[in-house]
Amino acid sequence: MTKGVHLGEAEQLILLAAWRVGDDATAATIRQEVAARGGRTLTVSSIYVTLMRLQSKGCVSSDLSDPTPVRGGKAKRYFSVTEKGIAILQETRRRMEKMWEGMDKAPDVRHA
Amino acid sequence: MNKLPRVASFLLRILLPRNWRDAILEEITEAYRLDVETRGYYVARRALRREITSCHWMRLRLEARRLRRSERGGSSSTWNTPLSSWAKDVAYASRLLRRSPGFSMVAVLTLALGIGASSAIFSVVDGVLLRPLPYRTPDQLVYVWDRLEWIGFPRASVAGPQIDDLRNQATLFDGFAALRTGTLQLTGIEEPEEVETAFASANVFDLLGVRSALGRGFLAGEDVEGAENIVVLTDGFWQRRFGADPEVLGSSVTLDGNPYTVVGVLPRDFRFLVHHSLSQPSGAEIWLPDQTDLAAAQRGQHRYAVLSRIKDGVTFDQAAAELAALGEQQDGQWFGDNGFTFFAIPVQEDLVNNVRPTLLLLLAAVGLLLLIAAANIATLMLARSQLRAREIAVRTALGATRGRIAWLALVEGGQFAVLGGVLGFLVAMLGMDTLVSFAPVGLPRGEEVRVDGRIFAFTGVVTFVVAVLCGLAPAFHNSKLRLSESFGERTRSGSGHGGSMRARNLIVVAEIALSLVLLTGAGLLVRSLAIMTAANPGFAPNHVLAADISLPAARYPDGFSRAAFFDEFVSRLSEAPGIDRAAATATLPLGYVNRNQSDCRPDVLPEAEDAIMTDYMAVLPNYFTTMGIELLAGRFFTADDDERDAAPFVVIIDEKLARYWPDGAAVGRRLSHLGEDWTVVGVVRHARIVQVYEDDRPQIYSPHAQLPFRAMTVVVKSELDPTALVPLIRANVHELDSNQPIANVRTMSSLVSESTAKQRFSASLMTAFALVGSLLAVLGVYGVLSYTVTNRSREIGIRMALGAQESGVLRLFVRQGLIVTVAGIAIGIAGALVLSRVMSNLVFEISSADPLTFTVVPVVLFLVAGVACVVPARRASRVDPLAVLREE
Repeated sequence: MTKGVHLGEAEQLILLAAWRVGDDATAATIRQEVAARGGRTLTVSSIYVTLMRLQSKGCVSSDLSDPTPVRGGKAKRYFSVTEKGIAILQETRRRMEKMWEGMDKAPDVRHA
Repeated sequence: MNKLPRVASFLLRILLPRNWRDAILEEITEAYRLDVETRGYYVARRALRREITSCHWMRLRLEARRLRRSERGGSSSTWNTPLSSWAKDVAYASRLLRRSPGFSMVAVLTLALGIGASSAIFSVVDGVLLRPLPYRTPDQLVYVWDRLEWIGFPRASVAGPQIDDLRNQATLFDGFAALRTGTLQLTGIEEPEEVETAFASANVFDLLGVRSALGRGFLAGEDVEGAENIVVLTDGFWQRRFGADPEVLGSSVTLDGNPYTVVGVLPRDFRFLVHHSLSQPSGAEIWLPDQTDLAAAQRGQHRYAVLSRIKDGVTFDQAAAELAALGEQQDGQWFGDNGFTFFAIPVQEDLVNNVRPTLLLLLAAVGLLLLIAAANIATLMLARSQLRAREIAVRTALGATRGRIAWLALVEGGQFAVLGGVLGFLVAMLGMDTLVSFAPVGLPRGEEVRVDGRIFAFTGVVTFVVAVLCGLAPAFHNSKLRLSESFGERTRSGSGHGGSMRARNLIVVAEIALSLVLLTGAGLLVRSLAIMTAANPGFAPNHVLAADISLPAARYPDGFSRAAFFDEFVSRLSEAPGIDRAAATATLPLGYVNRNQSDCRPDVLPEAEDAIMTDYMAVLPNYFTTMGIELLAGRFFTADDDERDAAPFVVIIDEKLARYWPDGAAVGRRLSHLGEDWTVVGVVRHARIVQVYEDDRPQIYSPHAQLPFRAMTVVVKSELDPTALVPLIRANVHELDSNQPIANVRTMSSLVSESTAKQRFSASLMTAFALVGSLLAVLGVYGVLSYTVTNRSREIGIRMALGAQESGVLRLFVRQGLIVTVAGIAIGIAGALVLSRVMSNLVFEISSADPLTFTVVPVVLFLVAGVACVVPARRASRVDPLAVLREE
């Protein structure tokens, strides 16, 4: 199921963030999560680009919420990570770890 | 709650994909709110700016589209479906193209020629007329001129004090720069030379918005009398004389014997044309601040071109109105309410005004040629689609829609056009240099003409239009073919599809009409050219060489030393081997420069009448015989006239001035001129000094010794090749003064032919376009008729079997071809009349509805088309009825 699907770094970040945020995952909360944990501030539109791409790969699904009076009656789009998305994330991690093997034995290089 | 700033929200609404807009906007607002709360207003604004300026919205649109497709269950590639059908159509059309290589080659070459010629002409039009000048906001730059209409100067240079007035009084301009050009002698180096120089006010580079590439431009105060002598070089001069040495700044050059410090070098693309004379803008090689005190100059001396810049936010009309008001004030104060005024012309317009009508005419002509070419391809394709009627019928039967059939024809036409366009672009690239080098001398901005992205885009657009034009008629026709007609084709009369025949006849009529318009235009230009070339300039240009010598005031301070130099120099030259005669003049006919004008009062002129405006010049005694200017009465100058103090002031006048005396008996009479009284000793033929085909003002010649000029043109007559004499002349000058350069060596015959160069340029191009156009049109007539004959051979055979005569058949077909031709000619004459009205200021001495041109051109076209009809008609009349019937 996960064969042939690769995730770029931004895709991994956003997919992981969406999973962490859980039920409340919108572009804005994902952005907060990435900023808080990943130390990067992404633009909402770039997050959307990535989420759309992930959706067409089948890694996330999205739903429109009911309009809330607080938000001026407008609906909000919630994203949730699909099972396929989780499987692909794990697969990606396995592949990366294979690549990282032995790196902890390398001499620690500190940049001046 | 923090809302998005209104501008940001507006921009995002435009940028975001429609069906995601609200959701994303909502998120951005939310993110902005969170940012403001957690990280502060400043950071939030910065993030929002990044949100808008990052180009993610473009990817958003693509992703949104992809998502939509994948949700519909289709393939995720956006282009897959349409592309494959495109590819199929193109592949099919290219198979057709290869199947009939002859036809394809003719079509592609015809279009390549048409498109290439259009692009080449457009590149000239673009470089000269359209491309903005390379200065800061060039559309705000204007030249300011005087209008002195009542004395025959609708556009005159401006006098110094007027510039001072403008600077003090005008409020809508950013300043006024006085400009004039001249030559200075560069000496103190191996090869002394005369350098084209611009003298300008210190603010000139600020007005243009030009910064020096090296060093600096002029500083305020450097154009004041007594300021330090400095010079700014153009890039070309810096490269040529200093080998692009960056150490040139601060070094000293000697100009007219005075030291000048080089303070700057202008950028490479700096090209500014200064009006040298009113008709001849020229590019100077070095720039000096003009240290003349403008306010103290004479009010009558109109010698400056004036550059100005309209202030930001002021319209041209407002600025022009202010100039007019200031002009009116001057009119009352200084010009006795004779109608003086100032007026402004945008710089770009002013520089290219002379060539604009010619270039636009050529562009229109080449456009017509292209139309004819496209029409020709359209008829050929129509004829071919006739042959393919069956194939089209099969396609229709198998379910091809009309749109698809029409589309195929468009793709086929498009293929010819694209191949033609690619080849045409190559033609344009090769042809453009030829075109510019062939263009008349002094094509303003000629060096800015180049093939680049703009020309490429133009070629692309033209190609697209041609593609549509070529494919439209066949597309329309094919889509209307009916099944029954096509399958039944062979068994029915076989005279061709009525609709397509009509379409092709109409197209050929249009071709003939367009080519007649072109031919008439060319005819008018050629006739004008013939008249100009045959014009008698009043002198004999053959075997005469001219060279300018301008003595620096520093070394030749008075008239005596100047007269002595030229006397000595010319007498040395006259004795040199190979030289028949030599002389010198202050104003060379057709030499463009050094034209001096003054009032003159012949003694017969009543006091009440205005003085006569004349051109005056000083000449050495042998001038008239050297130039072959005919003596009509009296005598030439002699050496006695040169005795400066003893001799009475004498002049020779031309026939135009002599006419003021009854019966032209001017010899021995007196006239006043330049504040002196002069005796007329001779009358000569009028020698034209501006254009070879146009008379000028009356002329007055004085002996150089009595009216010595600093800058003279030496003329030398020799039966030898005059250009071989240049080293001899140079050697003679150097013997007299080793620091004295000569400049502008040219033959009189070249000046005569330059004088008609513009006309020759437009006439030859127009003729070439017209000939190619008519050839295509006549081929069109031939093609249509020839196709009809092939199609109707059965009918002809039957007619002949039933007793029709050969001559009868011949007449039948010739008549058919001629009807088309005559219809085209009739429409063409109407079109040509419209064109000729537009051309009225490009034709010379003939009416723009010249009866000769309007008779000869249609008759010739008719005859040629007639021949083209006879060939297929004869073939028709030779049809063997037996052979045809046997085929049945």
